[in-house]
Amino acid sequence: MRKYALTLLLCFGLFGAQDANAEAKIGEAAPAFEATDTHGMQVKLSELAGKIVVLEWTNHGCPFVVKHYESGNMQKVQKNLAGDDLVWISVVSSAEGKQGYVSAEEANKITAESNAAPTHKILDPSGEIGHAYGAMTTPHMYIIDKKGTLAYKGAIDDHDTWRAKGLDEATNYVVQAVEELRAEKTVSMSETKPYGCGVKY
Amino acid sequence: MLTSYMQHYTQHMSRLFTLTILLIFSAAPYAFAQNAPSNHARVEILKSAPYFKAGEHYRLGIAFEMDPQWHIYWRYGGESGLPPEFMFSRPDGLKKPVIEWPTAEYINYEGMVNYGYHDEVVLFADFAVPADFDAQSIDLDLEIEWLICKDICVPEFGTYKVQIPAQDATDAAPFVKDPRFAQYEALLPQDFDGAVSFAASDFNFDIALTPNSPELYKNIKSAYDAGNRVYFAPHEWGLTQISSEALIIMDDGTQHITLRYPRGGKAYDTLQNAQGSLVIESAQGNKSFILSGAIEKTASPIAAAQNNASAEVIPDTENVMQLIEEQAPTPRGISLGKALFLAFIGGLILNLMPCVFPILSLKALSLIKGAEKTTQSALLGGLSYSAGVILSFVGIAAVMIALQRSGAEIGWGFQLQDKNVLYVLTLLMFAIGLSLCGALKLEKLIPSGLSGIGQKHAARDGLSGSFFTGLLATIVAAPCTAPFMAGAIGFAATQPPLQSLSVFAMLGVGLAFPYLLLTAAPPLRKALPRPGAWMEGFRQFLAFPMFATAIWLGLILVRQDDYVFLTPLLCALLTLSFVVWLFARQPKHSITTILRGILLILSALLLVVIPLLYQPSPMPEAVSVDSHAAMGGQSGESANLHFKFSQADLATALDADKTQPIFVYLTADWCITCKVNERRVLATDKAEALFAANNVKIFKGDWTKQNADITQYLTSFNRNGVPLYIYYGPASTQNEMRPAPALLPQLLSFGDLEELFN
Repeated sequence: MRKYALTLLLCFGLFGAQDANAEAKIGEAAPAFEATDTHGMQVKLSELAGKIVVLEWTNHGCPFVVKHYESGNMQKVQKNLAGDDLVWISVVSSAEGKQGYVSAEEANKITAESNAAPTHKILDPSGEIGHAYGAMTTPHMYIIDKKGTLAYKGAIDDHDTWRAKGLDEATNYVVQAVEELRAEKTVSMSETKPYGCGVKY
Repeated sequence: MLTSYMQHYTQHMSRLFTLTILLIFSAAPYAFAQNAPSNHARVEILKSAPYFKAGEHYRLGIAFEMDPQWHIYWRYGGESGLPPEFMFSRPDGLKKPVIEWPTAEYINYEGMVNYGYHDEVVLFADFAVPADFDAQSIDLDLEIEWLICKDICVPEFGTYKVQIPAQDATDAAPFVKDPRFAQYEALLPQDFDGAVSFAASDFNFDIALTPNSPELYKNIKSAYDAGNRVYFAPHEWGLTQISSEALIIMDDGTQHITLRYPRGGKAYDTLQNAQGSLVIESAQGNKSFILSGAIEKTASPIAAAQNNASAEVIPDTENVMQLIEEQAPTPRGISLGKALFLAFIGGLILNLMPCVFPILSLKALSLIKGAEKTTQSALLGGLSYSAGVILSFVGIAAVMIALQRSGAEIGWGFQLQDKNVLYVLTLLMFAIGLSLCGALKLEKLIPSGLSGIGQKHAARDGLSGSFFTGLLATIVAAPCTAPFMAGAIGFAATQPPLQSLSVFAMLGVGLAFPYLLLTAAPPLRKALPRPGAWMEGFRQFLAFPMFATAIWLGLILVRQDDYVFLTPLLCALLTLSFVVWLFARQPKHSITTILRGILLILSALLLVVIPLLYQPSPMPEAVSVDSHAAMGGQSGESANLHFKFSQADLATALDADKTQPIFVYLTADWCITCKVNERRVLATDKAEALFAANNVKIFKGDWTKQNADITQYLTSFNRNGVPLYIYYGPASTQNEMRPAPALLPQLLSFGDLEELFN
């Protein structure tokens, strides 16, 4: 009976903890997801093992996102980092009716017009992927290493404003982390303060 | 609706676009001077006085008036957002002003926590005017940029000119200070008058406070007790996970206040100093205090390893348990929604308890047998069962709350502290067990109670029968609730009656849910096994969990008074089994019928009289044998370390020798978790040796019976039930103050104890 009670207590305890823990953690396996991108292609995180995966939460109406795209900064980072070993996924977690919510066509149009080059763009209006990662802001960046472990989460850079002025001198944490991963070094800044508009769940 | 939204949306978008383009390409933001392109906020600069005085401070107010529901951000915006930025071009010799932020609102947007201001706010810029500042006026050009958000965010900005003449300037214009100035000055944070310390561990960030004045402690405590939000709002990102609610411990004795948060995302190595505000919300207006200081690091190697992203850490079970315990929801640390959810899950689990399972099985058997043939009658049965469960939970809770209101120091589980309740429950379990064995057709004992298994009354008494089964299920389940439901019930006890009752009702919903589901879903009923002879055997088997429950309850009862009640209880059980036998007889002659009637009445009387005849022992305090010391079997010397708990003795001991660690544990015989912990951890030789080696004084409090002193102490930790394990560490050599008491997990492991001394 005692063991019985103990087992139940354990179940109960775990329940509470899981609930409080729903956020991707550095050094742990990145939350799995499966989605269809805006071009109708299947994207499955587990199948991207062996590649570095960059997740970028975006909302084209958010002034902070606008800063990075109008200035050409995000596109520059995407192009600089592009390679066979890297997959860049832009995620839109805006719920239907909220800012940033787009259809696949609109999303592709925005990508084309801004001359951006993500490998995939995923629409996540239910917020499922966003909540699994604990994405707070747009932009909010996550980097998953080749083993599927979360290696970085936080801001794209240390320039936490919606003004483009001074963007050139900013330290880009994503570029830094990807370069370190490629050099098989430890990511020196693995978690930083995400800045931007709240994700419109 | 949609069109208007789209219009609104497009309007924002184009505005935003224009703005951004202007911002990026405009080299001269002054083009907008005075005519801020603001759409959602209007800014006004307020003066504190008509003149400035050299050598004194001069405060400017920057008033924001916002559209309804739009907000700007505090000095740290929280999980998203950005604070306003101020750029002053000012005369030579005048230093940059300090921006002062009135206490912010706690804004929860879709689960994200932000700090900011709605509707209206006045921020302040405080200039320290040097004594040798001799200009005739201070001419300021002020450029302000702010992010304003509702469901979307818009950056806005404006430029403003201010002229503050010197005191001797001859300007006789009458000056009226804007009333908003004083209104928001009153909301500025105060310095915290007391000791502040910060500690970061593997998973936690602790803020420990000791106010200098008892009054300040009382103010914070009473606001908190009234159910107001008390929280730490850091001034920067990464110290705490701000969306988590803190585990808050307030110790009336030492006047320590501890807030524990899960640690934020900032790298462990970079943690040095912390600054933040302690915010106390109240209906009269929020208050805040500025806290700052160095961070003491208490992390084990896990934290260091975790910060090193390349190192793969697979936490062992012990660590996982610790993680769980550290993050386990706490009575006050959970929201109503979460408490309701936990209560529901707890109710579900109750279905499996040895005392409840048989009852539920009986109901299921009756379903199999087809007593409730049609879908409709099955569903009605399920609904009335649920009503019985939920109403009786609410009933017990209402009695508890009413007693608490009338001043009784009781908590959940109180029904098991009452001798008479225990007596009746023991007999009831025993009787149910007997009838399950086949000694009696159950419907005779409890006429409408479990009529589901009887055929005759099924149709007539079906609904009321189901209702009473629900009631019965609750009565037998109640003893099992306390250990599981510490969180939710503790929460419920600190809430206003309505919230509190809804938590208990939810517990009932959880308990009733599986059976209701079974009755409501015909496909599920079809999946039930076919009726057959096995049912009789199974029903008889169910008697044994009931007997076990009867033994358990009986033991609690007799232990209350050191086994004095053992004989009367056994006699009562004998009488009861005689009654059951009598009931089962079918006398053929009138004489035997009369005899049977007389015997029945006598026996029933005896059952009522037994507890009345028995007098409780006059000095229950004296028989508090220290069973702990007896169990451990350790040397006489370490036995000296064991003491019976009382708040007064504890307070004396805490002051007497500050270098001696003190361990307090509160237990009760009816608390399974307590007993598990004692058997597995506390009463082991290993634990005894550990305590002895560290010269730990142990206070054990037994809550098996009501004890106001213990209830009070539990309440001071926001607990409403046992177990509770508290460790008071030795005072540090520097300030001769004991650290804040450490709260140990309710499910204890030996590792938890070891860690105390590492």
